[in-house]
Amino acid sequence: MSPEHDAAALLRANTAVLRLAARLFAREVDAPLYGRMLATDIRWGTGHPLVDAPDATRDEAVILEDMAAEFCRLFIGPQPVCPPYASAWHGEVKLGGRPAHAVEALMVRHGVRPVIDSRDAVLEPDHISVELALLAHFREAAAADPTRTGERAAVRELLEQHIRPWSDGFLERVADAARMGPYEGIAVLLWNVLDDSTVPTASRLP
Amino acid sequence: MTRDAASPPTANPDPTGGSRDGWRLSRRDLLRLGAMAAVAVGGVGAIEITDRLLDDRTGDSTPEATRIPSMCQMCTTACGIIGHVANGRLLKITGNPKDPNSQGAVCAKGVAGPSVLYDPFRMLYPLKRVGERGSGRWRRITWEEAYDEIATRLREIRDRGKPEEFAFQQGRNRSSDIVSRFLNAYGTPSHFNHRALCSANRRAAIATTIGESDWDLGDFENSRYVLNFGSNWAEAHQGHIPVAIRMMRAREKGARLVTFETRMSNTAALSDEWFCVKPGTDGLIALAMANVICREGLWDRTWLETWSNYPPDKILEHVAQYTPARAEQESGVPATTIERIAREFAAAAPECTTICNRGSQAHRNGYYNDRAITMLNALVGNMGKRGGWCWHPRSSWDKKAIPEPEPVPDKPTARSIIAEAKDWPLANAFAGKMKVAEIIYLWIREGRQKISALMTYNADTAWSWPEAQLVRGVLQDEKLIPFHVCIDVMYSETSHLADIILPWATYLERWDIDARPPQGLVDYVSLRQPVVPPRGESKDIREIFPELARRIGGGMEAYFPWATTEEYLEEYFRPVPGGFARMRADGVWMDPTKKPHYEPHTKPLTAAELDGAAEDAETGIIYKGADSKTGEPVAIGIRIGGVALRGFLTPSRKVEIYSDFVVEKGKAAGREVHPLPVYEPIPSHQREFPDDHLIMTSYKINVHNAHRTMQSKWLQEISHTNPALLNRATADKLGIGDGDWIEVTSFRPLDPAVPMGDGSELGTLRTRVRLTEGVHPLVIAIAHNAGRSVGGAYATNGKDDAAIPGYGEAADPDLDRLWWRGAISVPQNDILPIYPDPVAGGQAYHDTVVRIRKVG
Ligand code: SF4
Repeated sequence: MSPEHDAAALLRANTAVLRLAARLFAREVDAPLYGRMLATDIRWGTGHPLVDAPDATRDEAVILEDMAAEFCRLFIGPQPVCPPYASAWHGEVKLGGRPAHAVEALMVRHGVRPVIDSRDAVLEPDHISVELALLAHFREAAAADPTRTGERAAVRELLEQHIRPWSDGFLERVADAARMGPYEGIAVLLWNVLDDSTVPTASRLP
Repeated sequence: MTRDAASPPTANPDPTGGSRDGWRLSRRDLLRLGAMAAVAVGGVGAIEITDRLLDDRTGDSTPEATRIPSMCQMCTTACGIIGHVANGRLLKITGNPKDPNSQGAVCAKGVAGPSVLYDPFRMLYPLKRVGERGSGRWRRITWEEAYDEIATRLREIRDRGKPEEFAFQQGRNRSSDIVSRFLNAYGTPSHFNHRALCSANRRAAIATTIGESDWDLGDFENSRYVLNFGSNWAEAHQGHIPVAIRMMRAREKGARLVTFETRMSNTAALSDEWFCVKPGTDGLIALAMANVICREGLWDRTWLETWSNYPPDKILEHVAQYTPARAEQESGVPATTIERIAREFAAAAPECTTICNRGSQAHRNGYYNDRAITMLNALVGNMGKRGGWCWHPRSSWDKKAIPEPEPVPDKPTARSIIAEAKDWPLANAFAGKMKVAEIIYLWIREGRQKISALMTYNADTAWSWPEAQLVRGVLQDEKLIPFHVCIDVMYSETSHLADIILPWATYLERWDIDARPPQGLVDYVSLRQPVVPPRGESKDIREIFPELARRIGGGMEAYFPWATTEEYLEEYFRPVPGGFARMRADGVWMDPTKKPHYEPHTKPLTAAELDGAAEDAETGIIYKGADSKTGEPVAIGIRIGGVALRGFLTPSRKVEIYSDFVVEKGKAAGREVHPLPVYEPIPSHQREFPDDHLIMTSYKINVHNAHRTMQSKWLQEISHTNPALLNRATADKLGIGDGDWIEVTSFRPLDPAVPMGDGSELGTLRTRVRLTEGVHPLVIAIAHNAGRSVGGAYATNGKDDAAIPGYGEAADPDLDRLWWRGAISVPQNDILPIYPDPVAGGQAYHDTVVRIRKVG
C-alpha cells in the first residue's frame, strides 16, 4: 500500500471513529445501531470492541434498556458520572460557559453549525459530540483540498484548544466507569484517534 | 464490552491510576477498528455539520444584552427582576425598579439565579426508573412515553371513582392557578402543601383577630418603633426584600428596632436592641407588655372601646396574671426591660408595629404566641394606621379585577382525610387552606388514606420534612405509594424515590401570573416570563398539565382550551390596560387609582350597600342577604357612633380579642381552644433540664432557602456549613470546646396532644460545635437547610465525589477552589419530630428537647 493510500485509509478510519463516538455520546444505542455494531464481524482481544458478548437468554429489548440506563448513568444523570461538556471539565460555574462560547465563535467564524437531532441529548456546542463532529468535518474538508488553510487551522484549534484539554480525562473516566455497552471500547478507540489526529500535513494526507 | 471481560491484548483499557499506557493501538488495529466504526455509524444518525446557517445567526457574537422583566423565585418572595440576555444566554440578574414590592432590590439568592439555570446537575430529560425504586438507575424516556404512562395511571384512578387517591404534594407553588385548575378538573382534594411547616400558626392567629387577612404588613417605612418577635426579615422572611428595604429606610429615619430572638441572627444584629429569649416564651413577653400597657393606662382606650370585641377592663383583668416578673422568670428577659419596651412601644403609637414569624409561631404554642403579639397592636390603637400594624386583604393580585379565564372547574366534592386534618381545629378554618403538612406521610403510613399515585412538585419532602427518614420510608414503599412522579429542577432525595422524573423548567424559563402580599399596601400584578427558553427537554407544568388533561380526558380537557400558555395569559391579562404586551414590557402593573389599604374598617357603607340591609339592634352589626350555602345572614358592616362602617371582617365586625369562633372550632375537633390570647407553656419544657439537655432550634442561612439553593456553587461558596451553635457558658459546664465534635440525640415531645408524643428517643446526628454568646444558654441552634446526601459535590461539600467523578479534582479545577470540602453539613430534619401545634397544626421547629454529648 502506498503511503498516500495508507494515509487516506487512516483518515477514513479516524473520521469514522470520530463520528461513531459523536453518535454514542449523544444518544442511546438504538436497535439499528445495535444491529450494525453486532453485524461488524470483528474481534478485539477476546471479544467485540463495542458489543458485549451476545446473551441468548436476554431479549434485545432488555439489552437495549440496560444500555439506555447505562447511557443515562454516564452522560445524563441524575448526576452524570461523565458530564459530556467541556464546561463541566474546565471548572466553569455553569454549563455553557466559556468553552461553549469559544466553540460557538469558531463555528460562526467558519460559517457552520451542527444539525442536532431531537433525540440527541446535546445542549451546548461544547458537548463532546459536537466537537468530534466538527473535527471530523474539518479534517475531511482539509484533506479534500490541501489549499484550504482555514480548515486546517480549525482542526488545530479544535484539537489544541477545545478537545485535548479535557478529552483525556473524560475518556479515562468513561472507560473506567462504563459497566457495559460500547462506551469503554469507544473511549479507547477515540483516545487513539485523537492522539493520532495531528494537523494534516502533506506527507500524511493523500 | 463489559468491565469484567478480559482486556484485549492490543489494548488495556484500564486507566486505573490515570495511566493510559495500555491503551495504545497499533496502526493496523486502528485501521481495522476504524473500518468497523465506519460500518457501524453509517446511516444511524450521527451529528452532521452543515454550512446552512439558521436565519437568526448573525455572526455577531456580542450584541447588546436585552433586558427582560420577570420575577425571581429563588425564594417565595417573588421579587421583580430583569434578566440580561445576550445571544440567548442569561448573563446576569438585577432588580426590576418597577416592582412596587421589591423596588429594584434583589438579594444574594436572586443574583445567583444563573447558577441554577445552567447548573450541570439539573435534570433536563424525562427519566424513568429502571430496577428497584431508590436504586438510582434511570433511563431517558420521551415526553410522549412519560405523558402516556402518567395519564394512563391517573385516568384509571379517576375512572374508578377515587380521585382522592391521586395526591399532589407541592412545595413552593407560584403557579397556583394552573395547579388548582388541574387538580380541580381532575377532582382530587388531596392537594398537600407545606404551609404548616411555614406559617400556619401565625396565619391562624391573625385571621382569628382581624378576619380580613392572615398576613400582617407592618407599615415599617413610616413607623417609629418596630417590635420584632422572631422574624428574621433580614435573611429569610417570606417578604424578605420588600420588608428589609423598608426597615432600613425606617432606621435611616430614626425608627427604633427591637428584636426578641433565641439567636443573634443578622436581623438581631441590625436591630437597636436584641433580647435573647427562651424558646416558646415570646407570647408571654407580649402578654406581660400588654399587662404594663393596660395597667399603666398606656393603651388607646377609645380605640379599644370602639373596635375591640372585648372591653378594655376585661382585657386588663385577663392580662393581670402575666406580670413582667413572671415573664422574666420564664423567658429570661428582665422585667424592667419588658416594662421599658412596653412603654416605648406605646409612646410611639400609632406609628409603631410588631412583626413576628418563625421565632414566635413555629412552636407548640405558636398560635397563642402570635395571638398575644397581635393583640399588642390593638391595645395601642395602631391597627391599620399609617406607620402602624397594617394588612391587605389580598395575598396576591386582585382576583375580582383580573379573574381566572373561564371555564374554571368547580372545587372537588371528594374528601381527603389527610388534607382536612380535622384533629387540628384551625388548620382549615380560614380562607387560605393551611392543612397539616407534617402528618401527611405519617397518616399515609398508618393507612388513614389510600394513595394510588403521588405527584411531587418542587417539594423535597424526603429531605426537608420533619422526620424526613419517615417520609423516605413511605416513598420507598411501593405498597403505600404505588406510583410516584416527581417534577423538579434538581435531583434530590425525593426524586431519588420517584418512578418517573419530569424535568421542570426553572423560574427563568417559564410563565406565571403572580404577586405577593403588597408591602406598600396597594395590590399589584406581575408576570413571570421566560428570559431564556427551557434548557434541554425541561418543561413547565403549564405545558405538562394541559397535555395530561387532554390524555386523561373524561371532561378534564375542557378546562384547557388554550393552545399555548401565551394565549392563556393573553386572556388573563386582558383587564390590565395594555394587556399582555404591557406586562411583557414592564413585568408588573399596579392600578394607579388605588390607595394604600389604611384603616379599611372605618370606611362608611354606601347608600347602595345599605339598601335592603338589616341591623342587629344589640350588636350594631349590619346584615344583607344570606349565605348561599348556610342560609345565614351575611354581615356587611357595623354601626359605630351612629355611622354604618365596614368594620373588621370577623364575626363581630370588630377586632376579636375574644373569639367564640375558635372555641366552637375547638369543640368540633374535640380540643379546647382558648378564646383569649393566653400563654400556654410548652408541656415538654416543663421539667428540669440537666446540663446536657437542651432545646434544639432551627434557622435558615441567609443565602439559602429550604430546598433548592444548596446546589448553587455560588451560594454554597458563601455559606455551606451548619455547625451547632452553643452558648459558651453551657459548653463550659459540659467541658465542650469550640470545634469539638458532639452527638445530638433528639426526643419526641412527651405530650399527648402531639402524634407519637411519648417522649421517646428519635434520632441522632454528629456535628461540631461553634461557641457563641449569641444563643440562649438552654438552646442548641442548627440551620436546617443543610446536610444533603445527593445533588453534586458543591451541594454536599464534596461528600459524593465518588458518585460524581466527572467533578473529580482532575476534571474540575474549580474543585481546587472548593475550599469548604468536608465542611460540616448535617441534616437536622431527620431528627426533628413531627410536632404540630395542637390548635393550628404549625410545626414546632424550635421545641425539640435534645441530649448532647462530646464525642471523639
Ligand atoms: S428575596 Fe427571594 S425572591 Fe427576592 S431576590 Fe431574594 S431570593 Fe429572589
